[in-house]
Amino acid sequence: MLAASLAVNGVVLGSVLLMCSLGLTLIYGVGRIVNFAHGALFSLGAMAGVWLSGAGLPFWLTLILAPLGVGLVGVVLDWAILARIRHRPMVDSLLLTFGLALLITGVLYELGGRNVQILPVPSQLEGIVSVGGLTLPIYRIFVSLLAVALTAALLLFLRNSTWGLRVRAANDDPEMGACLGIDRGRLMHSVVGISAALAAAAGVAGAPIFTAFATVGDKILILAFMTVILGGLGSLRGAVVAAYAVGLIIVFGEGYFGGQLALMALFLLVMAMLIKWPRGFFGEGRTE
Amino acid sequence: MTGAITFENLHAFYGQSEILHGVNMQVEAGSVACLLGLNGMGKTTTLRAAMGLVDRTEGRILLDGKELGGPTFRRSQMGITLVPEDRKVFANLSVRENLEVARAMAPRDAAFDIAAAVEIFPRLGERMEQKAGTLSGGEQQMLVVARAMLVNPRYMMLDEPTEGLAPTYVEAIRQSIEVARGRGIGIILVEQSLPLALAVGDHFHIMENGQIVRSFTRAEALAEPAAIERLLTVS
Repeated sequence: MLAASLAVNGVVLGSVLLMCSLGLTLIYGVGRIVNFAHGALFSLGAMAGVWLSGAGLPFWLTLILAPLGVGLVGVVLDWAILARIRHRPMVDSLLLTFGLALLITGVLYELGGRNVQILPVPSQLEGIVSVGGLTLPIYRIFVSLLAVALTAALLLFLRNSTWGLRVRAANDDPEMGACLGIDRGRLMHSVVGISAALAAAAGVAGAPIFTAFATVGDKILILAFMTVILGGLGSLRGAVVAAYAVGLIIVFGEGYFGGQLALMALFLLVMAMLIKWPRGFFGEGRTE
Repeated sequence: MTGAITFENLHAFYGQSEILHGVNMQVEAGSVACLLGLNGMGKTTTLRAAMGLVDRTEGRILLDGKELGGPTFRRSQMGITLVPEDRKVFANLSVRENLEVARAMAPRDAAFDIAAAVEIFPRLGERMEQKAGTLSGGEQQMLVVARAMLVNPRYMMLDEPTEGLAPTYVEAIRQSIEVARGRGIGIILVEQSLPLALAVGDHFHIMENGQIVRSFTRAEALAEPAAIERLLTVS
């Protein structure tokens, strides 16, 4: 029974990681930017959810407006800041986005993020359902389904639209994409915007489970990075599989051995992957 | 439509190192200019400089009278593209998607479409749903040439397109160059294989130490291929 319960929680965490990791891997793939500010965008989404909910907006509207707002923040961040260092070495983007993360977190601290706040579960999603003797909180099922739906929508859009074709081409080889006329700068505005919106959606949807505060995205960011490395940098399907693998490893590890051991086991796995299979589960990630 | 791409005293730099020391060359639309020379003489850098892929340039390049500049994608949109030497297919996209992404960058009414590309390279038609990264080297080279033609450029630069290819693939690349020229595309071809260059070239430029040191017309080159061969031999 414990195992089944842990499996459900692992899937929920994996779903939240999935929403963050897809954006992280796309931003790296298309822009060669290691976005350390992604966790702060998750926190911003969670806090925006609390603010909008506190202003009396219903949960469903919050779940739409917060990601839209944070998505817009993402577009502005890319246009105003990340675009300025597009041609610089990767370490510059790493340091810059780290600074951005600290900046966003600092602003959130000043805006009430010092205290842990809880976004209430909407009344329609309260309660539990019993499946084969197993009791499952309805809200956690909802979060998993939401993540799967958003991910499927993004992957379908990437597969079937001209925008998606350009993103995947630039993801494979930005320089060659430019030689064919693909404007990577404009593409990146939309990629960062959509990635930020996805991270914020994860933040809002996760707020009733993980709570909301200025640094709630920090742990998610670390786990999302582990996900992206395991899946292979720039590999979308790798990120899908790795997100659930990391979610299950963390939750089962915490359940049976304690949180620190779970993290250590994950780090060991990530180190082994980096040494032995740096291109990730499907061998299609980047290694430069 | 006539026109030309003109390199005027082009200097190019990687960091502090000056690689090109004043390249002057004109390539007319619908003609093939072969850029020949030993390794390290600046042939690839000339092509990359035209695409805006070097750190810095001086001098200028005119494309049909307009100055070529700005970021790489803008230069491509002005009508020039590059087939680089290391077969840069979009490895995780299918052959069809590689072709579609290029076609989507061309004007909607552009004449050269995917059907025309498959006509030149029937092998690609048989591999449409295969991931480009799993193609053989020759097939990948066909794909990158077809992809470049699909953006319907006015000028196309090919960097050693037949290097390491089997004779059947070399012949396919030769035919594609003929088709591109027939469609009025101006071509700059960097090529190690002198027989191929002599088969398709209209003008021949020899590069040494970042400059063009001698040029031959087709008639001159065919009359005296040994003169070119001597210039391409390490003394």
